[in-house]
Order: sequence, then structure tokens, then C-alpha cells
Amino acid sequence: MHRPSLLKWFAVSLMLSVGIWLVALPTVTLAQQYIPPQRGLPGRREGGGTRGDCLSSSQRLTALMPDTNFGKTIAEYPTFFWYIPDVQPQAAEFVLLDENDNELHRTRFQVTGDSGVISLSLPETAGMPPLEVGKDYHWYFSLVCDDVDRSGDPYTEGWIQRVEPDAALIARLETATARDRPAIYAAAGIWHDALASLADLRRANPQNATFVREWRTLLGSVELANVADQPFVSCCEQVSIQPLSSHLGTSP
Amino acid sequence: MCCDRLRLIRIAACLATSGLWLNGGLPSALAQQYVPPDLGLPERLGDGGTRLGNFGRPPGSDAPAIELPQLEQQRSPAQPARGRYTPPASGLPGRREAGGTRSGSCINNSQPENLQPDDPQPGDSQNLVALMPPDNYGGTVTGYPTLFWQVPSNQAAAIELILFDEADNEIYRTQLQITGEAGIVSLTLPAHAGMPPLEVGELYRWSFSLICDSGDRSADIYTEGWIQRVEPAPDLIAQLEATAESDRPAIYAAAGLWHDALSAIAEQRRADPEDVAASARWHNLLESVGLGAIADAPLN
Repeated sequence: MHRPSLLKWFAVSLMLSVGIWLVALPTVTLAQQYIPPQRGLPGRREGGGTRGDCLSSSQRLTALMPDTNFGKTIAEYPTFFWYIPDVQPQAAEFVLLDENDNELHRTRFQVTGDSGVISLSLPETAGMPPLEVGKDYHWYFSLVCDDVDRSGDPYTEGWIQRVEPDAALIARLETATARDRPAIYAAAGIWHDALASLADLRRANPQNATFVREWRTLLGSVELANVADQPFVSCCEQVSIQPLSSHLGTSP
Repeated sequence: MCCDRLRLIRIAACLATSGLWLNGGLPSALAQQYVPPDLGLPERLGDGGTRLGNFGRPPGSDAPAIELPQLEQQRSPAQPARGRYTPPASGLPGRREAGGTRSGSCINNSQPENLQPDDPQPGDSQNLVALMPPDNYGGTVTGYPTLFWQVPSNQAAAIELILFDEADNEIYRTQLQITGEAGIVSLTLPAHAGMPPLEVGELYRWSFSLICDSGDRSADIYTEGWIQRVEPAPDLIAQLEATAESDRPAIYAAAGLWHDALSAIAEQRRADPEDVAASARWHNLLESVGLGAIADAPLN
């Protein structure tokens, strides 16, 4: 099991102080450095292999988030990201709970088994109420390796909070171009939106080296350089307007 | 953005099944008529009043696999694309509208005296209704389509969508707490989550429920239907590219691509809620499948 250690808290506070220093710099918006809010919650950013599951000992299911296990968003229906290693799970499952541990959302789906970065957004048009500002929400994401005995499933968990952007942030976002927004979110400590807006740019411009570099910088700033070069899975690569194979997207 | 590509794919695939309305211009007033594909499937068996979970392959298909004819082959070239929607002689067993409410229903203001079990009022605004053609079948060209329902004012614990493949394996399940407000809701299969896209030609069954009592799922109010991804034909791409975005839903509808027609109009309505033309398109399309009574429900 991977638990937050004293060492990690050290790392967090070190990052925080570096972060505060960075905020003071006028050039901060040019960087994709994430400035974490000053809090941490018990969680689990990486899910490793344990007995009987479908990961080898070196493989890690990884939530793309700061190692405080806490991320902010200004979105009503935010997006979450993970890196999935090359495994053959039966399915993946995401669960969202409110601060009283009531289950708000649970979704489970078959996966291709391809390794890479995936994302899930909360459904915006399904009648689900938006996340409430200021409340903590707890989420779990797991790979279902054994449907009968879920105890060995690799999983990650973390916390998300929707915050109200202040006037200055709104103004900066409104005047910024799409390509500048990830850095603005990152500098403001709005993790989920920094990542999601940069992912949008990358998906829309797969050949753009700048966005790839910024993605690497952003993940590196939360010590996730080890998964920073992983490709996005699904979507665009698997759907094509050319003659479609009936086996598109299925596992080999 | 990937969605641009998706749009192109939608465009492309649309053409897969159409090709028939190419000859005529499409007067926009008439344009939203949904033309159901003739699947040539076994005769419809009753109203499909089956409950969740005891519903395997479509009845009548004792063969090892459902033999789905190619849509374009089945489609009669003489079929008027602009004609009113006519319920097909054949269809799939499903459940476009939830059955009668029972004791313990979580629908507010329901009128039990008007709702007999398995004999609901058509297009009842106080019922759970899948936005589907009456044959419970909808085509799409996308790997990650969107499905729509009218949800009545309710006190349900949650909603649930489950998608099964042809072998009845569950491939997607999502549950959500909802506000309980009446309106049109939609769910889109996740395109970036590592879930494989729907396979072309495979027939998927979905069920969508209001979970009234999470401890007693037999009290669910539910609908079910079928969805199939079809392969786009190359000439449809050019067709759609030459068409203004606002007129594309009509092409989808004429091609029997129900889900794409509906989602395209929904996108237009969400992008501009004041767009009267888009609202009219929505109205016409739903009317063409006998759901005019719920066409004014607010769109989430």
C-alpha cells in the first residue's frame, strides 16, 4: 500500500514555498507550473500491484493530480485524468462521493486495455446537479481485475473542490487565448482545469510540440514526469472516417 | 479538437445509409422527418413489457447471432426521404415509455388512473420516455453516441444507464444522483476514458431507469431500446460538408441516423437557447416519431 508519508508532506510544503515564490514572479503565467493550494488530504495517487490483481509490480495506475491528493476546479462538471498501464482489466470504475460519503455518481465500463492517459468528465446534461462551490468531494478510480474479489483491484483516490474564481482570475481568463489558459489555471492552483484545458489543446492539435512540452512541464511540476510522455488513449486514434474496421478499438 | 473530427465522422457516416435524398433539395420545414431504416428484423413481439435483466437476445432470433442486414441494402431507394414517419412493420422489442406507475413510484404528480401497466399514454409528459423512434431502434455513425430521455419530475434516488453488447455483456453502466426536475436529459458514452467505441454493425441494447428505491430495483421505472453504429459511405461526407451545419440534422434524420439527428439539434439548442429555428427542428423531429407531446420539455 502506498500511503502519504512524512517525506511526502515535506515535499508538499517544499513545493508550496517554491510555489509562493513563483507567484511573486511576473513571468509566472508563461510557465505551466502548478501552484498547489495549501492543503492535503489522505488519498492515493498511485495504485500499485498487489496480490492477485492485473498489474505487475512495476506498473502503477496513476491519478494525474498533485500529490496532495487534492485538486481544485472552477467547473461545474470537471474532468479527471489517469494514466492506465498496459493491463487487461475487466473494466474501469469511477465513483464520486460527497463529503458525507453519499454516492453521487458511479460509472463502470469496459476498457481497451491500451496504456496511456484517459479522462472522464462528470456528465453535464444528465440532470446531475453541478458540484457545489466550497464542498469537498471524494472520488475513487479503480481497475476491475477480478470481478468476484475486488479487494485486489488497483485503485486511486483523491479529493476535488469546486471554487468560485475571483474577479481577477475571471478577468485574466476572459482576456486570455485558449492556449494561455492552462498556465493561468495552473498559477491559480486550479489543477483540474489546467490539465483539462491543456488536454483539449493537445487533442485538437496533436502535432503541436509546444502543448506536448507544456503538458510535460505541468505534470513535472507535480512530480509526475514518469507519466508525462504517455499518449492519450481512445478517441481520435480509434475513430476514423476512412473505412472502419469492425474491430476498431477492441483489444487484440 | 477531437470533437471536430467526431463531427466530421458523423458527417461522414451519415452518408452511409442515405444516398437517397441526394436528388432533391430539402425544404427546411420538412427537413426534420426521421426516416427509419428498415432492418428486416423479426416481427415485433408485443410491447416489450419485460423487466430489467430478463431480456436477452431479441425474440425471434433463435439463430446463433442476430443477422443484421446492411442498412443500405435494406433501404428501398423508392422510399421518400421527406415522407412522414411511418411505424415499420418490424421492430425490436423494447420499451420507449416506462410502464404504468405502481405504488411506490417516485414520479411526482403522476396520474395512476390514466396509466395502466404496460399501456402508457403515448408521449406522456409525466412519464419516463426515451427519445426514440417507436421501433426502439436508433442508428448512429459515432463510436460514442448520445442518448436522450424525458425525465418527469421525480424523487428518484438516481438514474442508471446500462449498455449491453450483442452477447449481452454489460459494457457500460453509469449511475447518477439527479436533481429530480422534469426535462430532457442526455448521456454520452465517454470518448476519452479508454472505453472502446461502439463497433460498426453490432447491435447494442440499452436500458435506462429511474431508480426509485435502491433497495428494491423491481420498483425501477425504466425504458429500453437498441442502438447500432453504422459505417459511413464516402459520398455522404461531401454531402454533409456542402451542407450548412444547421441543416445537417435533416440529413441524419433522412438517413435513419436517429441519435445523430437528435444530438445535432440538441447541440444547436444548447449553443443558442433562443434559436427558434433549432427549436422548430427539434419539434418536427420528435413529432415525426410520435413524440410531439414532449417536444416542449426543457432541454438540460
